[in-house]
Amino acid sequence: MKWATVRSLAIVLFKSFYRASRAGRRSPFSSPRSITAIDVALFIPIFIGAWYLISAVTGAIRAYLVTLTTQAVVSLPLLLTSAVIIAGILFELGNASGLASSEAVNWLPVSPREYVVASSLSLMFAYTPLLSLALAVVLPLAIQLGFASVIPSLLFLTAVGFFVGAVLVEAIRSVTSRVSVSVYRKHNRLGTIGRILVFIILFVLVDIAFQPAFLSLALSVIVNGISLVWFVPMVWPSVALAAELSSDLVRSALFLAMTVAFGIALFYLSAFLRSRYWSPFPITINASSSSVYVPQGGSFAWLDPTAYAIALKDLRSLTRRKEMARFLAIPVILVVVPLFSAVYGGGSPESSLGIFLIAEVSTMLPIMLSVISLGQEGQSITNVYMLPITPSELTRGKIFFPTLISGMAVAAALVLFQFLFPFTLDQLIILILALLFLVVTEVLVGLGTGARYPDFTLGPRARYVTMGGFIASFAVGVAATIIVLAPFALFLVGPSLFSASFGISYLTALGSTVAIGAIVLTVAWAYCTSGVKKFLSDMNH
Amino acid sequence: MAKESIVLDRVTKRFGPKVAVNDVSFRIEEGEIRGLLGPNGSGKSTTMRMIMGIMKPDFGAISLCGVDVLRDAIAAKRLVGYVPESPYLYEYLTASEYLDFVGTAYGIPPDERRQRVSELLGALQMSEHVNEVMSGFSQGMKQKVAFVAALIHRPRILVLDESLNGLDPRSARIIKDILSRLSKEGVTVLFSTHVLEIAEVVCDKITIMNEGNVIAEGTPSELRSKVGLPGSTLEDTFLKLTGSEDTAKIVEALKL
Repeated sequence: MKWATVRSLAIVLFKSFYRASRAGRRSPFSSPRSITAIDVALFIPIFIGAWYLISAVTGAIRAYLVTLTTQAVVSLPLLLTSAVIIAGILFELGNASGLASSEAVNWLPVSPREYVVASSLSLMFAYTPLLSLALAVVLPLAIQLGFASVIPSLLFLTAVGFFVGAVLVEAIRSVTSRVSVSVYRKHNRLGTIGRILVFIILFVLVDIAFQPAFLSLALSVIVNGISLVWFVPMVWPSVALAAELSSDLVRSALFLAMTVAFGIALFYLSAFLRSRYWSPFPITINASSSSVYVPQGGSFAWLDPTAYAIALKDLRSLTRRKEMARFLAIPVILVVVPLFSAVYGGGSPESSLGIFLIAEVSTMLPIMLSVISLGQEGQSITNVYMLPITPSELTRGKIFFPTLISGMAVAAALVLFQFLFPFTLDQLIILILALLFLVVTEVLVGLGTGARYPDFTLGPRARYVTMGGFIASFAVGVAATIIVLAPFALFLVGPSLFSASFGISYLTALGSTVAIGAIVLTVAWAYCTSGVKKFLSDMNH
Repeated sequence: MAKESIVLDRVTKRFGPKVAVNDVSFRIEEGEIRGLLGPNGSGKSTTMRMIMGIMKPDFGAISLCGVDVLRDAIAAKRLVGYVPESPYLYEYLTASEYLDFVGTAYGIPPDERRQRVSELLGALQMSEHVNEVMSGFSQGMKQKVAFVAALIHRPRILVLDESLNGLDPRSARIIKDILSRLSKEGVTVLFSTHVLEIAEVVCDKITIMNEGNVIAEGTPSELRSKVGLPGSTLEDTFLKLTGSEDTAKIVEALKL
């Protein structure tokens, strides 16, 4: 193994990892030296701050901190390994990996082992700020609360855990490369649906993983459950540390040695998988075994053939482009994460949470799906400009699936919340009417703003709309939600929150919901169509 | 007198302080194949984009078969087929899904679309790839799909922006033959390329742009006479007109 090759390849991969992202090109994170400086800049003040804070704590809080430190020391290698694995996989799932990868390694004299080491080092290095942050909190706790003796093992095992995580990502990358080639050649539809489901589940899990309630739960589960799952290699560093904390040095040494052996074995496996399964060639996906052209299309609902063709194209974009999966995960995240936090945060969910979540889903989701619908076209937007597509056709085509998907998600949320926190029939009728107006209004607000502030840059975590447009769309969207839901809110909680004079009758609430909803919808339509018209009039992007 | 299909009248386009296209005027007759040549950054692609109604000129007028592009871009687009320099197709679609989308936008009925697409794909040896997702296509294959999309609606004008690049010799030959036949049927072709041999063989007339200006216009032999190099190649004429004829000295200076 040539270490000079490994070193220079690791630097190249690290730089492309960061510069593949639009933010990375501008951010200070894009060079190895600056990220080292950031690691130090993060570590020193947090370490000092934590040191003085812990010194000042006494009594019951200090006793609690001792328990927390035990959990943190035992869990740290596992949590950081998981973080590297999840971050690495998410990077692969985004189109970032395509931008960051270099085809050159396929024909340069770089061996699979050299590549695996270089790529793992670059991935590890990219996430050192996370390591720096974690150690800046855990080390002062460990030193001051009597765990100083385990610090050498903790540092060593955390580093090995980091390496194991990065090497595992390499192995997954090689295998998925081949699996993608095989699956998409033979079972395209099955593969597409399966891939989207996996993406959605991953995004939801990642979002849950960053909830404080989950972290607290995870720490106690790891510490209490570690003896049950000692046979899982990923927890061996934690088993070694737990054994050392309970002075079982033989068990600790055994699991430390097993961790190192596992890391080495995984490295060789990963290098083997890369040499055996890596497919540098683009995947050819067959949508059909037939090679006969059969024209498709037509009209649907209020969509003429051109608008329907645009809608169909967008649906295919949403289901076939892996970078779009995060947008499909949004409705699930919007509902699942707050519910998870409410349930595991110790409180019991209340009806106010239900109303908030329904309002949140019916505001965020339609805006999110429609504000990106023009920007996500990227450079291919040229097609829209060169074809004889009218503003009306583009508007109708673009709002179709955001409206449909949002409508379905809102309906599902409504059914779920009706089950958890039942509304009366009168309340439900007004709410459904308001939500119908709201979903379409928000879709129009999103598209109108997306047309005024599109961002065609394709990259990891691409927004497809400028930051200004993003903020503007949500500001306008939230205002529309408040206005459209105002009669329902007054009907529901006016008398109980304020005084009887704030309440309105059922018929007044119904009538004003329809009137206000129709006015807001009309304004949103005018805003949207003028934006799309302006967008189509000149391609100055 | 032949009808004029493409008319540019004093067209100017600026990008900030840079004048990309400066006071450009030319007229192209029906059935003519016009070559638009120029070094990189000379304003060819910007001119073509303005002709397509994709980009608005800051000044000037453009009409296609009598339709004012600025006033009625949609009507103008119905008359034209366009193959851009880099065919940014929807890569997550299959070739057939993409051609359905394009055909629908041009309002072509399914039966006509089936016949037209099958013929064109067959001619360009792309039939077997019709149901493949285009992300796996080579540059040449994408170019062929873009050609089919541009010809699907029997356009009266064809605008090709360096679009023979990446095609295999057989397909390039087929495209050249298609252009000749279309020209005889009255289709006007505006064609930009850096391959001057192709321009010389294919084009009736040539317009040369440099730094946003039209610097010469005429048949290849008229251009040679204009620079005082009768009997020379179009390449020599082009280099003389664009002031980049001393290439030999540059190569010598490289000390290869």
